[in-house]
Amino acid sequence: MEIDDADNSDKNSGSAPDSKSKSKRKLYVGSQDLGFRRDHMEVLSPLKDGIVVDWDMVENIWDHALRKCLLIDPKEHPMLLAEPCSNTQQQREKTAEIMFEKYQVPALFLAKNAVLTSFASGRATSLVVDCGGGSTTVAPVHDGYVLQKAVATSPIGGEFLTDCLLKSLEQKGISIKPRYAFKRKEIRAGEFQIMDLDFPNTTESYKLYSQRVIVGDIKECVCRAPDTPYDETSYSNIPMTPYELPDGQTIEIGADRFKIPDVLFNPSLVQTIPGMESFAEMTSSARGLPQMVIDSINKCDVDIRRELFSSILLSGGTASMQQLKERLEKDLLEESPQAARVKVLASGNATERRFSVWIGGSILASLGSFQQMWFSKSEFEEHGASYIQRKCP
Amino acid sequence: MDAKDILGLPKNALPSQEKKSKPPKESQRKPDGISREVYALTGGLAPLMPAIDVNQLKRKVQSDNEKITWQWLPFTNSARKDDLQLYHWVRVVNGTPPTGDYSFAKYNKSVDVVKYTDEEYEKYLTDPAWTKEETDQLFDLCEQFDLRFVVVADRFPSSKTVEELKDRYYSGTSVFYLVDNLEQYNASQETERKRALNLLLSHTKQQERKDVEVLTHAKRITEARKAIKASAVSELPVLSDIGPHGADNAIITADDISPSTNSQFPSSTTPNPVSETASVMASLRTTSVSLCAPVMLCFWLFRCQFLGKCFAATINDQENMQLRVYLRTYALEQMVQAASSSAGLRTIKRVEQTLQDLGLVFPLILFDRDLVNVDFERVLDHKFGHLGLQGRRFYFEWMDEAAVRVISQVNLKPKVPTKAVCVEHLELRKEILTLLNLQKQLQYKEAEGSSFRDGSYTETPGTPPKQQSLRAVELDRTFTPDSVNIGGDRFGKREQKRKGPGRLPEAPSSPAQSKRPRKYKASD
Repeated sequence: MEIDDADNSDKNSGSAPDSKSKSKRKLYVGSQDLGFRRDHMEVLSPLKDGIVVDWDMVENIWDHALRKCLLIDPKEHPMLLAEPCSNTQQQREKTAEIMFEKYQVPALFLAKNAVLTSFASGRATSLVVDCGGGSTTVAPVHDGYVLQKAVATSPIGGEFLTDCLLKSLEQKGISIKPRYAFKRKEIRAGEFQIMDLDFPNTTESYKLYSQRVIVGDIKECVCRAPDTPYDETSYSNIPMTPYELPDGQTIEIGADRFKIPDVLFNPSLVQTIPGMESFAEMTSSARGLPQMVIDSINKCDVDIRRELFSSILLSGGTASMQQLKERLEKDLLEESPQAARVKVLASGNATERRFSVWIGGSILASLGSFQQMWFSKSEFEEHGASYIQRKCP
Repeated sequence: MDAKDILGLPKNALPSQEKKSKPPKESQRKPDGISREVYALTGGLAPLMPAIDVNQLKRKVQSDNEKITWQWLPFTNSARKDDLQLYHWVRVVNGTPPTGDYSFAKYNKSVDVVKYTDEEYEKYLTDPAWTKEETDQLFDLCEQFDLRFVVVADRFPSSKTVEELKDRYYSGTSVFYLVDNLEQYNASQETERKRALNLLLSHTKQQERKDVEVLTHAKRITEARKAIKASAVSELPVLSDIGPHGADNAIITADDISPSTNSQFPSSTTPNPVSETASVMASLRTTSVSLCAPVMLCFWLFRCQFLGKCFAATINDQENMQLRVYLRTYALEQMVQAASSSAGLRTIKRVEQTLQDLGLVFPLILFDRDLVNVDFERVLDHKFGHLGLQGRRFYFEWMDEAAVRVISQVNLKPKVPTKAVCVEHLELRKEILTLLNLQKQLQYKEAEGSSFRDGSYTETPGTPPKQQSLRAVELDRTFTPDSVNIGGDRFGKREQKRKGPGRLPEAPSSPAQSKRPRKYKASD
């Protein structure tokens, strides 16, 4: 009936590798293409700070998604797109134009990420804490509408934590070899020999991307949010956890297991990580996660604050980090007023947490009462793209 | 382990035994998803056979004369303004698709927001604080968001509070409806309520913990003292002895501020502060119009709580056995009630009404440092400027004392000893009581005088109906002492029900009034 297209800033499947020179570039889209190393191929992202800067790339991504992955003709299907809470009017109008003019969709709707996450958990009012890859956003939703004046964002996201971990490992002398840079040959049963391969035409961005993939995996496997704020002395004698890299190297990770996730709660920790000084300026103005939640709730009207405190939803890939929910709940219990009952909710399944926006979108689009809310092509032709502000509040 | 060594058993036997013990244990664990008690109803074991026989279940009637197919068909929706055609799966019976409107169209309900033309705006809706564009925007947003004022306030371009928006909307709408809205939106009350709620919610855990600690400490002390002084008779004029009784009496919640409070005091004990907070929260969340006096008192309670200072008890103070633990929230109120418990309920109400009328919500002033420089003179002038010179002088004289006390208290350093301030307040209340009684007596005298003149009334002015008619008569006349007239007004307003009149035949009568020295020369 309707098909949803979650236009989230998920770079893993959306990055468009680019080859050749700037004048005539060929865009490869998708994780399959990303995994294959090509000469002079750069890894690019169409988004900067959550805002689209390169619409050509976005169109390529949509083409790939609709025609190659879903195998549909957009003319037959209304589109529900998820957009970030701080999307500008200009971006929305551009989206509407592309959708109606290029893809000829019969109807369109732009929904905010936070609203869809809220619907995915069956609530119309909640505080959505979206810990994504590129950034962390805290947005209160009341009766199905985002309260814009109380939205808080922070540039610290999953990718930032990955970078922190990468720098930290490099400082310790561990070099992460990208997957394309070696070949494993089985000499005897169970034993492998590593041969280095050299690809001089590989771009830096691709190398960095490949390293990030590996370090991201380390982070997901090994890192845990500490129960108490991190400090050097108490975690200095922690037992090390081993991790085997793809090239056979086994590394030991100790205090970093807890230090890296604590950056979410205490951004100033970044300054103690060697190699990350360039980001010190950015993180000095950033606030920790519990502080963002409290600030956001306090900006809302007094009457709804209790309800927001008792339904705090976690979503996003970084939210699947172990013990994050418990630590956030504990920190909030300390700082929140006693009159409010704090409850942090997250679906048990890591996949559900990651794609809660899409799930919410699919729920919304299949509702009978939603069918009157679509922004149709005839309305677009009659009123223009700016009418989207009216139809998709 | 050592035993095994001795016995010569192999050590490897241990892990396999553990594995064996695990499977039987698994089945005894309760399955997730149902509570332990429910699971216990089945006897503690999962049923091996399904309890319901599948053959017993009713089969959905599928008659052979009907042929049912599912088809992908277009549909239109009357809730939409354009003619968009969407597609969905439809259950088709015998080749005829179902007719009628889209079944969800009936759920499209919206609020009827008033639409006005420009002339109507000019005529009815102009307001100094609101421009036409803002008002238009407001009504537009209200329609778009179905009167969800929280969202409207969020999307409104300039930062107006929810109360202001609601006020403008409801007052604007009620102009166009001839029916008088029984529940008018009261913006100021809403603002106050929200402010109090805000302060309550920003009460940090630290303060709450301290409050709880102090309260439990106080309770322990009072219990100990009670045991020592088993039958201490507290005399009313000596206010300092009221302390022990006051501090351990019930905590008043906003709901309880009513004439019935008096009876509750001696018996109840200190409930859990958290539950008090909860009930207070409940009352704050309601927006019903309530009596002004209790509402004011309630806000005073919260204010005190937030200024949140408790003074430590000096346990070893032998000269003055008064307990100095004053959570200002509770102690003063108890003392007040205890002091005035001998007076009638109506009298108490009158006293509070007087306090209010005089524009001095005392506790707010006493504890709010911001109002240190309030010009009492100006306040009183504003309130009672319409009285004649005589009346004003009378009021100023009487109020001067009280005002002086307040001013003197407020001008002290912030670390004002609560006891003194509370004592002053109580004295003021007493004086108001005195005033009211004097006024009453004056009335009686007047009535007597007039009855002698008229010769129509032979009874003493003590019976209820005559009293009321007397007062009505008084209202018509113009007395030179304006004060009595005002007093009559006040009595006339409130004398609907007459319970047992609680008149204190107090010693200080009219002579005392004139003897009152002029402490503070008001500009007459």
